[in-house]
Amino acid sequence: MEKILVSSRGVNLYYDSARVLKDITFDVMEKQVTALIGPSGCGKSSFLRCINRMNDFIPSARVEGEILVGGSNIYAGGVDVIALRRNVGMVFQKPNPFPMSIYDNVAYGPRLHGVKQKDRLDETVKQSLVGAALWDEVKDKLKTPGTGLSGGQQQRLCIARAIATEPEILLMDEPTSALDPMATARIEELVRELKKRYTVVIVTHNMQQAARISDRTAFFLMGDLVEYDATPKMFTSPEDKRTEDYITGRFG
Amino acid sequence: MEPVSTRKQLEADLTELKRMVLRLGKMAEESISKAIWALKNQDAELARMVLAKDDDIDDLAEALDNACMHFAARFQPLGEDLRAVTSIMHMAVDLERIGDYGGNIAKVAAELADKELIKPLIDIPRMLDVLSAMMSKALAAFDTNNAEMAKEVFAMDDMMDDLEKQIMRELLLLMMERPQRIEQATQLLNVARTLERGGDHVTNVAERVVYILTGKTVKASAFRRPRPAALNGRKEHEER
Amino acid sequence: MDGRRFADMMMTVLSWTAAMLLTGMVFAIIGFVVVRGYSVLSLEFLIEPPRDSMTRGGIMTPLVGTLQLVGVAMFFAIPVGVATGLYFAEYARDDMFTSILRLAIRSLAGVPSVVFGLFGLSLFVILLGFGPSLLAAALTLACLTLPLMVTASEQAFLAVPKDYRDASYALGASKWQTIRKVVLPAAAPTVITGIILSVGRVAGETAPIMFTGAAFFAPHIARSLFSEVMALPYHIYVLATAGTFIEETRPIQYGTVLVLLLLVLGICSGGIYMRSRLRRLMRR
Repeated sequence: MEKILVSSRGVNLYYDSARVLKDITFDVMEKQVTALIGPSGCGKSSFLRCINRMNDFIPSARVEGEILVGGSNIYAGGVDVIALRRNVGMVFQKPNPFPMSIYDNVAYGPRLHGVKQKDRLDETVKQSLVGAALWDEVKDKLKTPGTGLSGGQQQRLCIARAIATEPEILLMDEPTSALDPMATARIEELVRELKKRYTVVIVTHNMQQAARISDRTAFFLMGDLVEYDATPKMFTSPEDKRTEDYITGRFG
Repeated sequence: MEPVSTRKQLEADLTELKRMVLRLGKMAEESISKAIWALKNQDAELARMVLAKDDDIDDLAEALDNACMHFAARFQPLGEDLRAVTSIMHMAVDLERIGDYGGNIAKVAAELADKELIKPLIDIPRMLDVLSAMMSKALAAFDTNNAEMAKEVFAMDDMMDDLEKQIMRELLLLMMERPQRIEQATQLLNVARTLERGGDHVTNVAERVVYILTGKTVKASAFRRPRPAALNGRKEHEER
Repeated sequence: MDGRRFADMMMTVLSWTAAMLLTGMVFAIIGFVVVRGYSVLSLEFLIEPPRDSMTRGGIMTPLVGTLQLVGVAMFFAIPVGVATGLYFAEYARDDMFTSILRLAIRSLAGVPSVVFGLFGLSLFVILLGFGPSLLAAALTLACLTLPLMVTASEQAFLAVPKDYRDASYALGASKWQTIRKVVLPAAAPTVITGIILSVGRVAGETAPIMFTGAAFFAPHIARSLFSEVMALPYHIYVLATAGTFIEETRPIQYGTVLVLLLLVLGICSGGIYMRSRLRRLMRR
């Protein structure tokens, strides 16, 4: 039985007077992977950042409409944004572990939110690294700098860091575009595992990747949500001609 | 992303695949036409030529299959391109089968070339005419991306059914009248049955064309004369 | 040889010559000082105060005085400079006011040090009534090095990649938590570079301390913030120009210069070592 976890209702995003997202309305299902695809500048990354209110840091950004997470509107007045970001993790395009030890990287989130006891932190760090398929590779060097790992490992470290706060939702903004094919494959495999426990929304410009790992796909074009459907259907016989043209590479 | 040049290359390769399909279709159609012609005119030489050509048809079908695989590996196609390449692979099978039927009929034609025909062949050539028309239409629909034209093929299959039934009735009558005719009559029945199966394969091709163009799977039966409910189970038995 | 190869060769030769000249100059200065001054270097030189109108004895008092001045000056300059740099990098809005502020600070960097001395005299010595003292001199030195500290800090904070901040915010950190836990540590190596450069400058300045607290002679080292203090650069000046026995004290002058150079070198090396250790921890 599919359950809706994130619901976008008529979301409009403005940078000053430029309208970057137009009336975006769709639902993200729980414990599924939802891919956001579209050409550069179509708004998919901007929409992703609306879900954890990272756009708040852009002074000229203004959001209209509602985004419901677990039933409540995260843009309502008086919402605890810190708690939201604890519940919605984010992984970025370029792996960005802090210049600290691996342990401190993963423990960063829990420490922020008040966890101090060493054994609790130890356990959380271990579980997160296990969940990110990185534990075996780093368990003997937790105190070494996170920046000493390879690109693919760094990205998995960032994933571990994000899931350490035990979020419900994991947002991934083109997480493999800076990685080589082997590392990409490992991350994709990891995402398939992650969706058992988390709801994943992933922005990707690689359509084959979206076809490989997502359950549903949303196609954005110039701020509009053109089509949103189950992935197999989306990539074999989409309804909208614009979608068809995009996935067959008629325009980039 | 470099869509433009990859897209151009993809379209060029896809056009080549289409060309191969059309050529395969033409060869299959010629095979079966010539075979029936050889049967009707008791031309053993023509029959042998048809049989010789059978290998060419198989080779082309295999080449087409490989070309489709390479296309898929190279471009990882999606959407309409994906539907096209997978459907073309299916169509290759159907068209190759029609080519095989031509060979089968040619074998019968070679055998009956020096014997007396139990009856002049009229309906069998008529079946061929319908089949040829169906093939031309299906391939033209594929060539010109015309889904409506493809759908017209479905109804034509009814005529094939009717003709086959008629031939069956006539031949059964002949067999009952003169039992020594049974062997040849059976062979002719098989030819008719083979042509009818050919019609089914052309219908498959037409279905695939519609799928490529619209993304929707249509069943030919939706466009044909409704079969009497009697055609399932016990009732059919009783009718016979 | 064709034109291009010739031009290449000329440029290489010219660059080499310039580098050699400069290096030569540096070594010449150092060599000059070392040759003239090393004869007076000894443990006693560093430990004993000047005696007999400074013809004999050591330079303990000015040495300690310089250390005190540097210490107190940096005690004020580092927090104020870093905080201001932080303000510019993290909190200031991109408007006219901020631009003017930045311009003011940059301009301050170009003000001659004697002007700072006069400023310090007016404000700290006279207006605030500290009198000529360690405190007044150190504060003047702090003002002198503030533009450098602010600019170095600001650059350090701006150089911290946006990536780190994004990641921190996305994990639910507030702005201040992010600054405290991620930005400051990441900027530390560059800030330390700024501190090193500041220390080098502060230790060697004469004009700002001349009227604000440096003493011609003090019987003992400064015991409170309000006492006068001897300092190495001023001591050199005194020995070379205003002292009673200029010729006799020549070796001591060079010795003092050598000590000052070694002191600054020592502090800088310490800072560089600390910085490289931090950098290794944060290797990207």
